[in-house]
Amino acid sequence: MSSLFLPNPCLLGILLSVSTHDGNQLVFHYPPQPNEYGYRPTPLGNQVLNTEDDDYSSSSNDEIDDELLDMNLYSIHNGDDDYSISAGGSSRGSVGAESNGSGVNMLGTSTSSGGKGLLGILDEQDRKRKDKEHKRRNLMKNIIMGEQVGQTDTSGSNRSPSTSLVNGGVSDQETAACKVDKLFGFDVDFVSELVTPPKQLCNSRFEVSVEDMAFLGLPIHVNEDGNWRVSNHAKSRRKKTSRKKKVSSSSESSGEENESDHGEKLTKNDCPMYMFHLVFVMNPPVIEYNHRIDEMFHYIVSRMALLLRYEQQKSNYVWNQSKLILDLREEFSSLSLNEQWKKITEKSSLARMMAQTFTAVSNSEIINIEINNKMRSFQIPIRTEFSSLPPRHTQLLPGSTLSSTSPFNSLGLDLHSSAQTDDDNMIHYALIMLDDPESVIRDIQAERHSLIANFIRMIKPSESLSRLATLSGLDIAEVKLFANHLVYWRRAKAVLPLSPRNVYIVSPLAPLSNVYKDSVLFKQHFPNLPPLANFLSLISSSSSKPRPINTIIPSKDHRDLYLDAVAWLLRHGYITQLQTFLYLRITKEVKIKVEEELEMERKNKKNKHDGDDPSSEDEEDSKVASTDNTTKKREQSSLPYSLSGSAGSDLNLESQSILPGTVYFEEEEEEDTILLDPQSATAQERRWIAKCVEGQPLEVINLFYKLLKYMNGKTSLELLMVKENISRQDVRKLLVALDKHVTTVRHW
Amino acid sequence: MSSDGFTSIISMFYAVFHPTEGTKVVCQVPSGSIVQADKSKDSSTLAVPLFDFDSIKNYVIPKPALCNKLVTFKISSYRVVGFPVNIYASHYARNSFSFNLCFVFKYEDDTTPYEGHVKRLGRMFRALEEQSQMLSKADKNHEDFFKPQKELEPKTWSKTSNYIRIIQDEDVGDEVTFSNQNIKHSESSGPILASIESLVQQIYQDLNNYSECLIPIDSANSVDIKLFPILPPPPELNACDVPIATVKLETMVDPLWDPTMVRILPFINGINSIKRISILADADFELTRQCIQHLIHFRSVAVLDVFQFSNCYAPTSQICNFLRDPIMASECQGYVISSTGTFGNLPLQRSQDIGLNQDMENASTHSSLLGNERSQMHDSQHSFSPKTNSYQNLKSIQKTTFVPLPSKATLFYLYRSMNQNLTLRQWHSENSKLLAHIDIRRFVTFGVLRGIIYRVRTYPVSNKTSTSIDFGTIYTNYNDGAHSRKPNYNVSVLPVTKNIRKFSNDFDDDDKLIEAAETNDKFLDLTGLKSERLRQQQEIKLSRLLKKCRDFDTICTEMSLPRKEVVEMLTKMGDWSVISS
Repeated sequence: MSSLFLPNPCLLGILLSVSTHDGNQLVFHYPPQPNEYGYRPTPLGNQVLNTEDDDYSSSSNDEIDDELLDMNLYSIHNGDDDYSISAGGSSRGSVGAESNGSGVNMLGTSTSSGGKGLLGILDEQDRKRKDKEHKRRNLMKNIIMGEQVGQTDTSGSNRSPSTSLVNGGVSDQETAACKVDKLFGFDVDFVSELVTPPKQLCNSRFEVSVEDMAFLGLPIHVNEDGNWRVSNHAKSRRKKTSRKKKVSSSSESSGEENESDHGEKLTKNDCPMYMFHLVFVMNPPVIEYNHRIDEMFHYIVSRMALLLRYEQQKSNYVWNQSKLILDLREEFSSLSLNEQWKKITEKSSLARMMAQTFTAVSNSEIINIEINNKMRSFQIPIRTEFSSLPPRHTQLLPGSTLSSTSPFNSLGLDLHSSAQTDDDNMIHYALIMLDDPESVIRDIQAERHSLIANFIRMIKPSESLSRLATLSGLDIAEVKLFANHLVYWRRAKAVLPLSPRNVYIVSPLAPLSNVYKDSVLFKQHFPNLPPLANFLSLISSSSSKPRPINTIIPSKDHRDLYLDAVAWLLRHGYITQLQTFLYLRITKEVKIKVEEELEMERKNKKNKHDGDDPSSEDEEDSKVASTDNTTKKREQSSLPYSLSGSAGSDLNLESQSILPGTVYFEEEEEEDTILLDPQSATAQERRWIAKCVEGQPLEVINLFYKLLKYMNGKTSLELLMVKENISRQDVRKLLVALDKHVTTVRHW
Repeated sequence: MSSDGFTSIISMFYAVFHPTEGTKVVCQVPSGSIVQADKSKDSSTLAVPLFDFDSIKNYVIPKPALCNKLVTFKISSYRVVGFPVNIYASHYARNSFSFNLCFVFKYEDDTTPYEGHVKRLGRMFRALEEQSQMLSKADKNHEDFFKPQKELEPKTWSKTSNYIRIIQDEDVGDEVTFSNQNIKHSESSGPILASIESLVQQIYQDLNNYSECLIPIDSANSVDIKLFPILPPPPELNACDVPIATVKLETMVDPLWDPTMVRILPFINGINSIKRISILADADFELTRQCIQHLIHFRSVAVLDVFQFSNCYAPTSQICNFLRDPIMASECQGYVISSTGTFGNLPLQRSQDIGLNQDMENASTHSSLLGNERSQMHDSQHSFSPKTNSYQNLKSIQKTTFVPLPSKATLFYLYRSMNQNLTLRQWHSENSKLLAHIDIRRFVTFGVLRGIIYRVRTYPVSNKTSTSIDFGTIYTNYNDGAHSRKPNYNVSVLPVTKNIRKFSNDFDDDDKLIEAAETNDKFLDLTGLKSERLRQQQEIKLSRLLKKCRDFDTICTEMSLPRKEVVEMLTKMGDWSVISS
């Protein structure tokens, strides 16, 4: 239901405002003519996608348009073209947004257009709205479907905005407008005033929203001492008493600081600027407001502001660039707006950075910018890994994967909790590259024969990271760090190492509607394999239960080919690995036996010391014993459940009434129990456990105790086998021998 | 958080722009939360304001450009939501009057339920002020806000020239102090001031305590607010989705309800698909679907899939919750037990279980419109229809038997023993002993709703279609030049359109075939021809669905055919296989 899993940048524009002693000034903004959409929110991602026409015949037209647009989208900055169409006025924007706003009025939309006199106008508006919706849908589609385009498109990341701006200029209708008077419906001066908060609000998150349009930023104010950053030096001085010794460790950096301090002192006089503010203007959907604002701030706004602050401190970057931009604007004031912008973005790296950021963010791509010859990357991470099945009807990106165990799952996606990844397990995972290794190497600007480049070339879905570390000669910590990076920057996906013994199922998230489309690709990659649909059918339809993949591999020679195909399917989210999780089940019989033994012991005890009160001890024991929920609580449930033949079909449980001729349900005195955490078992539970393995061969018992702590349904057997180095045969033996007690559950 | 899950208001304040003192807070609740308050007046005054008011002055009473819009901003860890209003009128001291009634919330909280109301309040106050200067006159020294009487005459010219107005403003400033002392004693405006302060106080308390308020202001106006959560729009539903009520819908019916809603209500029982509900209730399908969407929007209905014995279910990663969640398992016990098992209420002998399965399968395959008698029987077992009770009389066992309650471990075992390739029928026969007193349908419903199992859907795919697409490769290769820049595994830029055209060409071919068939079969009798045509239309429909890769439930519902017939048609049309995911 929620579309939070879909990227929806809803970015309207980026502004840069500076404050000098002469006043505030809006230095630059991008795009040149942003639209405020009547201060209306963006429709939700899933709504946009859902409006897709179901009927084939009518949608074929759209599709053609789509393709045309798709081709153009890469050259036209959607910001310019798409938005300028409705740049005319807020009224039109509001009409469009009205109906797809927060979706409160659903029944009304189809019937509301009554009234004959208005019919023409309404039709017109309807047409315009559809037009807009269509464009918006294309944009979203492009973002969502073309997600992987962005990252794989090697030239995309370094694409210079100037080429695209040429197109923007062509499509511009208002060449006459060479001065910007209004931004987002406000006077330019007012906008700069609006985003220039008093000092008390600086250096922390800034957010002002007007109707549904939000101005988000991190205003950076110069410190009292004329520094932009709180330098280590100052800090260490302040905390001298407590950290005297630590100074030496940071001496390197503080030396640097000192240097820059000097530089700062030199330039301080020619920097009248005391505050700058990079503002992102957004119109997030109403119900996703907080989420979208948070993610934008956390991943992009704050990081970028801090980067600028760093550069400003170091080389007076922001002020120099601002001056440059202002001069350029003066110089080119006779040119048309788009020409102006084109020239400015060519000449000023800050302006270029803003333009690149805007373009990349609005396409939900990774932002790669260069400041002072250093590459920086930012992104809003996109959720493509899920530990549990999202509710049905939730729109996801095609290719999303399911895995409840992947240590990369929560990687940087959780905004609020510090993501603690399970480092130990990570090394047992393998990576599937989402990209051509060579292009990744190029993108990260690694040298062609460096260790890292070799490492990337070495990555294979069948080799775990720990093995890769030994093969490549890299340190395991380095490998982990690197793997994290590859996953975070959308270059790789983590899976358990491929093996023909693994069990794969067609993922419940599989993008089956693309199956015929992807079939073509699949054919290109694997001309000798059955077509994609048949291949999936082979995987999914074995009798009675999912089987290891090697059951469909015809011979040993085909092994590698089939595993490659499996990797391809995993990469595209068609299949997911089925893993086995263990639980320990204590049967009635075991319990009764233990109970009898206890009884015997108690009797013996009683005979020995008569003074003790065994009943109270027993009471305590039974209370402690119930560490899990399947153990029946003794206090409750003397009342038997009863059920009449006609309980309501709703979920209300209270609707049961006792009718004549009903069957009474009663809880049995002893019933099977599943232990949730055998590792921290109580005394009684430990006796049960011991009873379970009684009379088994020693090797089984040993293995059992080795695995006991994992029998909590949290760690998968497949991972355990790698981690604890246990062979499949042994595990099978254990499972067969303790069939009654070790319960396996298979899910992803 | 207040009791109903709405975020509570931390503070409310009413600020005006004073002609001489600038932006100032006139009243605040709780006292001292925004600006320092006189401790002697109110003992409950907060010692330290929540934040520094001076730094946000310009956002509380902003320039006119920002007025009459909902403006929110962050200050330290709070979010201030307000609707600044600016009224131009010549009788005001500075020709305008500005005020803002602001709400303060925790920054992270969801303020959407309040936003509309803040706007509405602002607009209402604006109207009140315009009509009767209710706000400006409420101030003790309300004369500050107005021009002295004698200055009112030359307003016509004062409007025309900025320059003059500025001069005049200054004049007014002087005179205000003067007139202040003059009129101070003439009027006692205390009660009116109290009315704003008490109004704010009451809104604050009522909204925080009851999430609503009804406060009359004068004979014509009142502040009536009820908070509603802003919920995400409901998902798009398919015809084959099965709604199940999560609350007692029939107790909520009200005479003003939408007639379609009232009509379809008795058929929402966790068995009927939306399409079937619309047929049973004789309601328009689209309206039915929208009604169900409404119910989902208000979280009184959840969506299931069509229950069939050919369905497969498999555990999800959430299955551990069944053990860990302290109440889920006992809720499950209470929900799934049935004195007579799944088939108990059918007038059949228990010994015929196996054969019965077969029948059930046919009976409930479907969502087709021609629900046959038996499935009707089965359905009524749990529906609200009055028929149900009649059955009770049929069965006159008056003995009372005690049966062991299925243990939680057993239920868990039953859930985990489902898998992606096991149909319910197979699963039932494997576990029939354990299932003796469990209603399978309820068992599955519970599992699906709680997310511990999921429905494995089966998608028929045509081998023919995929090969016909494979011919599309030629096109791709041909076009590779244009796309060579794109990486190899980029899915989206593939020429979908071409394939679609290809499909539509297929359809055209089909149409031609029909025509051909028609011309050839002219000598056949008319009914034969008709049925032939019908069949071909069905096939075209089916092939379209096939190409869109829809699952069997959807196809059966769309075609209004039982699965068996769909399978037959598919086989006739060529090679096909099944993907379950």
